[in-house]
Parts: sequence; structure tokens; C-alpha cells
Amino acid sequence: MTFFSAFIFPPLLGCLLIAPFLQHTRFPQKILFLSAVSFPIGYGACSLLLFFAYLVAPPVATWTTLVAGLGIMIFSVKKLLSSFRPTRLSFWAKSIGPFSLPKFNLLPTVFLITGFLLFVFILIRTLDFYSLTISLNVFGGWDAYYFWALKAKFMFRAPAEWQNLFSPDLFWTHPDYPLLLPGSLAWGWLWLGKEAFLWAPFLAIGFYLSCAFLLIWYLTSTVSAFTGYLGASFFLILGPCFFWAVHFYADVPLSFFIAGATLTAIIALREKEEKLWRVSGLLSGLAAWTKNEGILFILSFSCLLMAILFFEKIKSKRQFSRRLYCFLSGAILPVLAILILKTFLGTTGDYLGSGRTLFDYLTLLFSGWDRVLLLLNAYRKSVTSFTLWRGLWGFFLIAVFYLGFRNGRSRYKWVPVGIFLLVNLGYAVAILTSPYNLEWQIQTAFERLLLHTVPLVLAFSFETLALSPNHQ
Amino acid sequence: MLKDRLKVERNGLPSWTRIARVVFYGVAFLLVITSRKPSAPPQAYPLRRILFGGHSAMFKSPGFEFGSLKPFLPQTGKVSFIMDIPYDPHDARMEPFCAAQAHLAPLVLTPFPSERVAIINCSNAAMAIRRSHETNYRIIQGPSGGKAIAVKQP
Repeated sequence: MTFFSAFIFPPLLGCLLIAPFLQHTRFPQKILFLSAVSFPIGYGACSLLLFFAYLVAPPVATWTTLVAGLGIMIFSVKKLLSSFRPTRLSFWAKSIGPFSLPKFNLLPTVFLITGFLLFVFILIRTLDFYSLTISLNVFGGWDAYYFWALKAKFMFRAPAEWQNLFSPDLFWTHPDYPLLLPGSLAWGWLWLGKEAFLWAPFLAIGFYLSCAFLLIWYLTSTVSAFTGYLGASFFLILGPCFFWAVHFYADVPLSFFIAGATLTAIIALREKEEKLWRVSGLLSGLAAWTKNEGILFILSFSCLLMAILFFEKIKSKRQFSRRLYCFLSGAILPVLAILILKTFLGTTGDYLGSGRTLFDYLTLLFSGWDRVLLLLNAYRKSVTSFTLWRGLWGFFLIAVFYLGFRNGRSRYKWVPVGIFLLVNLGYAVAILTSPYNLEWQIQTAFERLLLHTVPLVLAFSFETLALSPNHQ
Repeated sequence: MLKDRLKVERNGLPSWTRIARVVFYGVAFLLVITSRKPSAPPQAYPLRRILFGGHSAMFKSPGFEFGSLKPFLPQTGKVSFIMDIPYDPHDARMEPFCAAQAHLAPLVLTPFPSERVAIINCSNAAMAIRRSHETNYRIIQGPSGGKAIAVKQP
């Protein structure tokens, strides 16, 4: 029972946390969306609750987290029921999506079944290979075991002294790293009462499959269910995504939150629904709570959104500030956790708190074209590798050209391209100003940095190249 | 009129768009269906049966060999970790230090000879004794297989 409830509680919390924001909105395919985001948002929420509980009262943190989680769930159910209107039932029934066919049409049905069977086949094959691979290395890669699991051990083994994980003596574990993964690991261990080593593989596969479900939701909503299943299958065959998932790194969860936040914002812009900005804000905040690169994302994303809202034909200043307020209120808790962590706990880092001056950064940034060329060459080599990406970046390039040719300002299709450019530009600057050797950085981190925008790039490419008649 | 009809399909899309759609879906479908997962090594199959069969004791976490030192160490606080060579973050030989930290947490290990108690982890007993002298520690437990517990000399 304990084991079962440990699996169920966070996704249920995630589902109930998001459901009120989708109620009475024109958000498409709500059930598919909830199935994609419940797991990541649930574990993100649990790690946040645990962090705040540890800050306030470490010895009773587990109970505080449980009570707070249950409180949120009861509040959400109450909110859902209080504004429940029977007339909306048909709307929810429609949102089941690919299974609700208004009238029988042979060709789309054949496509739907083919896509679904393809996805199920790829999914079973992926799960089989995943279970075999983790059997060879159940503790994951270096970062997973020596950074994320180590931090979780401090939280689980000595709650009263959990802040030792930020000790300057543990400088090599990066004390300033955000705590979504350690918090999720520790939460599971605390619930189960032991360091169950299958918990990390379970979390990793949960985040990995959530990316695939997110693609199903978005492409089903914007193009067709067949495209959704095809896009999700395509994601599951990408080698780097599987490789970093099977090593339990935080890059796949970050890529989920980046894609989730951006795609939800696109739907919010298209449907002009204010409430959806909260969901996008929460997902952006959780991106920052996953990895330091997520902080770069939330900054780029906020700037881009403000620019969009500023140039939008918004009726009043009040409407602009209202949308911004919704976005920020969604992101507030994870961002607050990050601020507390960076200001009071993990105060030393490779960038913030490194003691380097602006002059040091500028010197590194403009220390020669050869470094820039080395980085550009790494981009070229990686994106042209068919073995790694199965032609994804070719699709992306064609989609970008097509969008430019067809006046892509319509329906905010260009937003993922903007995010891709901003995030990767930020990464390029971060790599060039890194205290570590550039070649070593490229060798160890480059592929993972590129991975962060992969689900988003895939969603954009498939939506654009599907040339859906609805969106021309 | 007929020319326009030929150009534009019933769904409102120009015909070239429809061809492009078919090409895109065809290519994407082929890429997915022709993908292959690399074959897993033969030992993965029995290991999977063991892992999911609940026999977790078979799987030893990195640093488990330091478990024998636990009874002689404090529960929390800081302890030094001495190796054959002084600490160098870029040297691959530092991994036992990281593994020991992962296994002995919430004890905080420092790679410098600054704490009252130290774990000595050297390649052999003679090296352990030599390093303890160099770093001004006195061995109180061991050395066994190059592993020892030592205290700082006044």
C-alpha cells in the first residue's frame, strides 16, 4: 500500500493542482494534457513542499509535506466542484480527443489506429530496452549518483542536518544546483522509509515518457492524433534523449518543462485565456527549479513573453498586467525557492558567487574567434549527426524556412524558434565564459544542452511540416 | 476554373502542399519504423530478472566498500579523506573520494588533511602509513587493504 501510494500521490497532486486552471477554458485536449503534466508537476510540487518544509521544521518535514499536499488536493477538488456546471460535461467528453470521433471516416480512422499501434510498439520496445539498460547500471551516471542522489541522501538520512548538503566542503557537488530531482528522490525515500534504488529509474522514465505524452497532447490539439503519435514515437527513437534518461540526468526533466511552458503559453496566446498563463508560469518556474540552465530559460522566456504581450493588440494596459501577473503568480513558488537557495544556502557557484568580475567574463567571451569557431563546429557536428538525431534538425531547418516563407507570425508558431535561439545563445555565452576547459565542456555537456530544446523543436517541426489546413 | 480546381484541393490546400505533407509523413514514418535499438549485452537479461525479482542486495552502490569503516566514524560532522596523492579535481583517481562521500553521507568528507579524524584510503598498507605520516595523522584502526582510520596528532 505504501509503495503503491508513493507512486500515485504526486501525479494525483499534479493533476489536481492544474485541473482548476483548465476548468472553463478553451484549452484543447485537457485529459491528454493532464496525463502529460501530472507526473512532472506532481513531483516538482512534492520537491518544493519538501524544501519549504525542511526550511521551516526539518524533523516533521515528511508529515508537513503530506498534510500540505493533501490540503492542496482537497482545496482543488472543492474548487473544481464549486464551479462545476453540468452543461460543461459535453465539453469534457469532447476533450477525450482521439477516441471521440464525431462521425466515422475510414481514412482518418486507419491513420489513427496506425499511429497508435506504432506508438505502442515503440513504447514497448523502449521500456524493454530501458529495463535492460538500467539493470547494467541501476545507480545511473556521474551526475545522477554523485550530485542528485548525494543531495537526496543528506535530506533523507539526516533531516535535522540536511543543510550540510550546501557545505563549501562539498564544492565538487555544486551546492548551488536546484533541488527538483534530489527533492523528488528524497520525497520517495521518505515515503517508502528506505533508499529504494529503483526510485531514481522510476522518476527518470516518468519524466521521459511525459515528454512523449506532451508531444501527443500538443500535436493532437494542433494537427491530428496521428501526428501526435508519430511525433511521440519519433521522440522515443532519439538516442540522446534515451541515453540521458537512462543515466537519470536532469536534462530530460528540464527539456520537459521548457517544452511544457512554451507550448502552454502558445495555447494561452492562441485561445486568449488568462488562466493558462499560470500553468505556463508554473512550468517555467519548475524548469528553473530543475537545473541552473532553467534559470536562463525562464529569463529568456519572460523577456520574449513581455515582448509578445507588448506588441500584441491588447485592449488595455490592465489586460497586459493581468496576463503578466498570472504568469508570475504561477512561477512564484519555484522562483522563491531558487532565490532562497542561491541567496542563503548554496551561495557559491561557477557563475553567481564565483567571485569573478564582469571584466573576467568579457575577457573570456572575447578571447578569440577560435573558441567561437570551435563551439560553432560542435553545433554543426552534432546537428548533422543522423545517428544521434535521425534528421530532426533537418526537419527543423525546413520548418523554419517554410515558416519564414509563409509569414509565420500567424498563430505564434515562431515562439519555439525564438526560445530555441535565445536559450542556445545563452548557452553559447555560458560555455564561452565557463571556468572549465572549453573542449571538455563541449565533450561532456554540449549534447545535453542541445537536448533541452529537443521536445520543443520536435513539436514545432511536426506542427509546421504537417501543413495542417486549419493553420495555413 | 478548371485550372484553379486542379491547383486547389477540396480541403483548401494547394496540391503541392498536399504532396509535401505526404512526403513529410512518409519520411517521418520510415525513420521511426526503421530505427533500431542497440542490442543489450547478454548479462543484462539475468540482471534484469534479479533486479525486478526483488534481490536488490546483489547490486552494490559505488563506495559500498567504505561501509566497514562506518562503526569507527562519527555519525555526522566532517572527516578528512587522504589518498595516495593530494586532491586534484581533474584526476580520475579521485573517484573513490566521491564514492566514499556518497556512501558515508551525511558525514561530510573533505579531501584536505584538516579535520581531527581522517579516512585513509591508499593503494596498500605501506602507502597508508606513509601518507598518514606526511599529513600528520596517527592510525587508530587498520590499515586493512590500504584503508585506515586516523586521528590528527597534536
